[in-house]
Amino acid sequence: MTIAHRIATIALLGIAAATAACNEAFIPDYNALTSFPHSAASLQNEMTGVLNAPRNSLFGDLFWFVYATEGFARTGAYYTPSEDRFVTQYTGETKLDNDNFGARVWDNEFNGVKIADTVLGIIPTLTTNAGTAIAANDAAALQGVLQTEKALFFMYLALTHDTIGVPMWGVGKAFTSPAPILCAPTVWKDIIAVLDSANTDLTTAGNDTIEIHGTKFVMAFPATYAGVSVGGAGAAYTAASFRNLTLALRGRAHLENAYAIARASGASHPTLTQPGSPDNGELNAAIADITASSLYSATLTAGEAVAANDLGVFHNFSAASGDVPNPIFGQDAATFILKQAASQIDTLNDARFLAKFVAQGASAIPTGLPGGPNASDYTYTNNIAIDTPLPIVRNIELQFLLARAYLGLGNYLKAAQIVDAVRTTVGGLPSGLGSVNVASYTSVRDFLIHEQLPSLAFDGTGDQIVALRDLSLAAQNDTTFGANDTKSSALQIPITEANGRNGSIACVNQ
Amino acid sequence: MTAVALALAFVRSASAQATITGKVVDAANQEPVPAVTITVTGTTIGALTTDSGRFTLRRVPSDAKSISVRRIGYRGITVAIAPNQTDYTIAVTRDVLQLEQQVITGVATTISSKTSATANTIVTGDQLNAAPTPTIENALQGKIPGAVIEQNSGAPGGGLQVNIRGVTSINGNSDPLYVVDGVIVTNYTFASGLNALSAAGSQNGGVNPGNQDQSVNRIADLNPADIADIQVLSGAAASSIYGNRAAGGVVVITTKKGQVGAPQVDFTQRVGTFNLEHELDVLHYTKTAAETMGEGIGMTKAQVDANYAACSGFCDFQKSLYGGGQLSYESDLAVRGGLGGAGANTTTYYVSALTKYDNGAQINTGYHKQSARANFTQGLFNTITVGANLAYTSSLTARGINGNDNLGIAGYDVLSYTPSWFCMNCHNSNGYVFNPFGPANAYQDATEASTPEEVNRTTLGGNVDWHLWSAPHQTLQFVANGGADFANQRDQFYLPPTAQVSQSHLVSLPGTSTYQSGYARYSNFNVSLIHTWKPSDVLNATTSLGVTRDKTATYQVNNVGQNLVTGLPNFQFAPVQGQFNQQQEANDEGYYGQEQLLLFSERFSLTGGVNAERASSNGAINKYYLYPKIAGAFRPITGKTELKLRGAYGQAGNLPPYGYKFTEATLNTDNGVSGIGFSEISGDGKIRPETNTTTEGGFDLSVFNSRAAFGATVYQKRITNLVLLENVLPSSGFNTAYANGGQLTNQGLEMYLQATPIQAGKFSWSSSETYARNYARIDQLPIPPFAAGAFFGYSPFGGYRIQTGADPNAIWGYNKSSNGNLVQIGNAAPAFTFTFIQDLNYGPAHVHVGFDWREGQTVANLTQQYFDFNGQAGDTAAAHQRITNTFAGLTPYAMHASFLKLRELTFKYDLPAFMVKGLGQGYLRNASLSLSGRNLVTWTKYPGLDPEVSNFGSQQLGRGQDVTPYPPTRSYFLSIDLGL
Repeated sequence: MTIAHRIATIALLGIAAATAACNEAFIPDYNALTSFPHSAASLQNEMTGVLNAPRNSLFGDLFWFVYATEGFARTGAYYTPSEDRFVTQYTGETKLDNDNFGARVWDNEFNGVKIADTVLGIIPTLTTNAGTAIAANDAAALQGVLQTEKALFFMYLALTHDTIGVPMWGVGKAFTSPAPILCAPTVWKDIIAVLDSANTDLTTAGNDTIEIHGTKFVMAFPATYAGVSVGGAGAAYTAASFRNLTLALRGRAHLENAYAIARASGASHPTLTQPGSPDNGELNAAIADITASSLYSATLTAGEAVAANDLGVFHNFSAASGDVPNPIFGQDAATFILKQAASQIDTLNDARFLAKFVAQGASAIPTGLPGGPNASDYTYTNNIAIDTPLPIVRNIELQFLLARAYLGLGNYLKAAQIVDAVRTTVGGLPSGLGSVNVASYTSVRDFLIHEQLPSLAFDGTGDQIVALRDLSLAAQNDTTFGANDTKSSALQIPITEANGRNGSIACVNQ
Repeated sequence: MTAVALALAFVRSASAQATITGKVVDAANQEPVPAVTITVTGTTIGALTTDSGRFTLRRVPSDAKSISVRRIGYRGITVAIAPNQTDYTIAVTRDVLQLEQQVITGVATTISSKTSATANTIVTGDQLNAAPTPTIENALQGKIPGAVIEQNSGAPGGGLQVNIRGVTSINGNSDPLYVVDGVIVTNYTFASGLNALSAAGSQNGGVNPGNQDQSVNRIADLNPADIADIQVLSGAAASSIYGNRAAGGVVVITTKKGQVGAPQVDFTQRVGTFNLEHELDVLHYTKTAAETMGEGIGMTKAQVDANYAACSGFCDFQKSLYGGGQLSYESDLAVRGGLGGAGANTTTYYVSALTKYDNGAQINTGYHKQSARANFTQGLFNTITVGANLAYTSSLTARGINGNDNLGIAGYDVLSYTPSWFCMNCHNSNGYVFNPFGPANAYQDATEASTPEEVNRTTLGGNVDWHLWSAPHQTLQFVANGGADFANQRDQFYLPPTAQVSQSHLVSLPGTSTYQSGYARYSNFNVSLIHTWKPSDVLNATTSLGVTRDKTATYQVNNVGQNLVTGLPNFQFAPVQGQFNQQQEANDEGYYGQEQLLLFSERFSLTGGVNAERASSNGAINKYYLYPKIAGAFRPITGKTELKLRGAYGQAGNLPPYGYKFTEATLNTDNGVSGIGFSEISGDGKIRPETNTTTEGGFDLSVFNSRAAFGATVYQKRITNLVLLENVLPSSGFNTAYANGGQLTNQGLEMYLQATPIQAGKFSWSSSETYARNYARIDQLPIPPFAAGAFFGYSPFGGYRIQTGADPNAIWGYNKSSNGNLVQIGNAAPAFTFTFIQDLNYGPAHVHVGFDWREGQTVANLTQQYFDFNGQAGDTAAAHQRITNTFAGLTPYAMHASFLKLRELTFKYDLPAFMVKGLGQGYLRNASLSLSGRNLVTWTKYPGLDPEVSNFGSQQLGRGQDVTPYPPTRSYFLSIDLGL
């Protein structure tokens, strides 16, 4: 080996070693953030992220909430007068299986709760731009908003899982995994407690500024700390204003709790013919909260036939890059359809029906079953667009919640009047009171259920199946579609949750 | 070993030295044989023969006893050195069975297959190109024992999966690593974005490209005609040299090189066609039945009758839409040669060009491809050889809209709901008629929708082989290899707003245009020092140390525009737009050391080594994971009968997919405000590579003076540290979490039989058979059983389920005796594969025939379900039974899909010398004509289009999903080969 060769060898080895030793191994995640600072500056984004959780994708839990609750209510596809409930046969769903069906409304909500808990945890550490701790009323405003959002997520879970139960940790309880699965009355009690806490905080915060985007709820934040403006037509609302959402949700929670308590007691739960004895205290609390909320208006307008025009708080959607489209839009003609509604709905004149549905002949076929006799005449393609907002709560829904509360209290006339007001003012139809026996529980109940269908169908609030369940109508027989009529009215605990608990998923009352 | 050798080098006394010259000729025709490796036995002294077959060995020790003569394609021999003889003429005999080849043992080392300790398959260029094929993977089908190579559909331009020795991963990469001339090349699959048109993955303009986009894995870009040979490193003992990326096996491709001598030109012209291989059995209607059906949906009797008449009662949609038959062509030109003489500073070159067009069976589809390659080597200073390779490929493919969809737009989906009496191919003043039986007209989609996919790819590589030092019994060699591969794929799809499907109630925003751009950049290099020590015939030791480094990156952008106005097909003009962006990068670095011993006149061989690698995809980026290997072989019988016993153990890795170590934040926009949240998937900051530990043993026996060879290998391929997506309590806020764990084992048997039963005069018959069987099992699973892969439901189609003790390939579902319990009802992987290749030669006439048999596999036939439920299946009784079973919650559409295919058939005739001379006017060396067919006949009970199908493309679990695919084709080609 010559000296030159040796030098060359050493040089080559040196180059190789030096090249290999370059430490370039760390490569970041280019496709997503992997961490973000929990600071006042990022709070705007984190707060928005909380409410985004259930609507973080087209087929997120919000879509499945609409899909499942309308399916359970048989709101889609078929409408037969022969059925006791005056409601429809849902044909778009196959049998519920144990593998994944329960997961359809579950993960996103708990993810949202986790984000909310994270933000709640950092509130005490936040400082203003001047480096001082944020004011107590501002902290209260943040907490009130976040607790309300947490309660909303738990409500989505409770509404879809009914007596099966929901893992929950209420106010003042730290999250532990696995969280206890609470039975329906306890869940509603805890939801109410969360909303109570939110109400207290928001009341404390008073007129502290909260950013609201337009007339539709987007998220909430005291913009003075982040220095971030929502922009556009955003208007600065206050904690006191936001509290109206808290009250409306709490009103609904009280209503559900009234029936949950009754059902837990067994004997006092409504039957097919008897009104039962739902908890009067909870019903009265529901009425008080609903009517106290500015989202409720006793004065109705014809324009409220279109959900997006109603007074309320909404999930927003848009076609903008990074945003999420309306989950019904795009599925409207395949999934959200009605069959032969003419037998029970004035399809020519009912403004509530016409605000949503368009006659399609017989071409629209529900997803999940072959065509033929199940083809629908009506699809939800009117007044639905990629950016149509979806109600969290709206005035017409509150009307029916109120009517149900009065029905439970035995004030059938009041209940029927509320329903009829919607029918006449919003639906543009003649009064239906003439055909309703306002002294009869079943007559008023059926009137309510009947009018609720065109009023709230596919609004994404789940009121129809919840009312059917509360009034013991959910499991009524219908043989129209044989094996496919599974009569499900609630989602199961997801198999992943059950497996993680070694199958111990029986709910408990605390 | 190297240290000992170097010490001995200084104490060993020098002996007298001589020069030996000679010539190597072909024993059959006495023609000179170039590129033969001549070495003095027991030393490192060697040379290559020139174009004229000449060689010169200098400084031959006076005590040297023999010289070894070896060349791929010829049987190796040893020639004794006679006293006082300095010039030799050596005749070598062709190795018809290719029993002796150079097998890769390290990054820069090889060993003769006679002594190799692992079961590696080498496919030569001639074997590869026995019949024209669309892509390299097609050409490999049936030629590698233990590898299941299946096409995903019959769409032009490729799209196949190579699966070596069973399941390698559940969530990680499952493809083998592809290495071309030392350059790691991409086989990445860029999802084309067809989802926006088909809504297969999501309805209404899914922006995210998905695995149902009927996309092509990019190894399809290679030109099979450029390939000299392909070596498949199946076991981890062989593939561990590629460390972190080699768990799925390695496919090492060597392209053709030039040889010193005058330029030689080879030109091949092919013409042929691709046709529909098989038609589904569809319902024929009586006129009365047609009238009843038509009037049922509002048609008048006159309209029905007019359609019935136009179809003469039956319109064969499959034939007219997917019949194929248009002209395909392929032109290959290659020039090779070299300058210089033996031992001198030679220059060699190989330059090739290809242009081809494969017609698609479906109207308006096809595959245009042009490629060029230039390979050069340059000798310098008698000690250095520098090589450079450059390849460029450009292709333009149109594949139509096929596979799964949610709009009723895929061709066979439309056929499933359109009765055969309806003249869907008829026109009115607006173009194609409106199809009243569903949302789309298949002819309109095929002609008005456009699906062009353009690929541009450049691969460049270089190598340096520097003999730093040589002594009679030792050499020290520096070897460096490196290169880069750049591939860009661009898809611009368009579905006009005027199409019937766009106007249907299923499409909310008619008029869709996409622009997908994917870019892959792979680069790697390795540097090795190799010391060879041959003190005598008793010992031949090769020690190598080296460094490897590779980087991979893929970037993809997809833009989707919707609600376009008529005549404006560009996405940027769409009022509704969506974007997808994804970027992935990975760096990998390793050090290796290896000792390779040949003992006792090559009766024993022993190779051991370890490769230590770290990678950016791992949680611990600075941690080196070790991949050891050891392999040994013993040849108790040598000579005219050879027996080799071998055993090997090794490990290779499979990197966790990019990003699995991170818990990602989600980012959504809500009316212009960014919302930050947590992903529901928890990353694993400690994630590490999956580990493939393979133990194998076997034997190779050749008898009758290498006229027949038989071998068998049993192996156990065990995967540990599986990358799992573990379900966690969703109520914790996370839904799943990545984690390593569990164990999966494949055990298998591979056998081959090669023989030349007849070799008499002008006639010869060579036969090659392979058999492979693989059993897979999940040994351990730290998490509850879970559904894996992609499928459409246990009932009625069947699906995958990972659970301890079960085969991960098993198809689970419900049958009549399962009482509603999920049970195994089939298997996506074949129970065994058997290939049968025969070559018959009589003088200038050659016949090549290859059969491919796969037994015991199951396919989920959604296409059949479509036809059944839409009432268009030909066998109405069977359809009714399947429908009944569907409503009973059973799994009637998981169907047995065993098959035997006549994969290749070629008749070739070499024109006689007088014709060559006459036709070529003295310029032609040779000329031949051949007629080839591919996938000519399939024997199967599977009622679908073809058992080889995969709606979800290439993936480990989830194959065998038959969803209105682009139908597989058979092809016929007439070829002319000319040598100048």
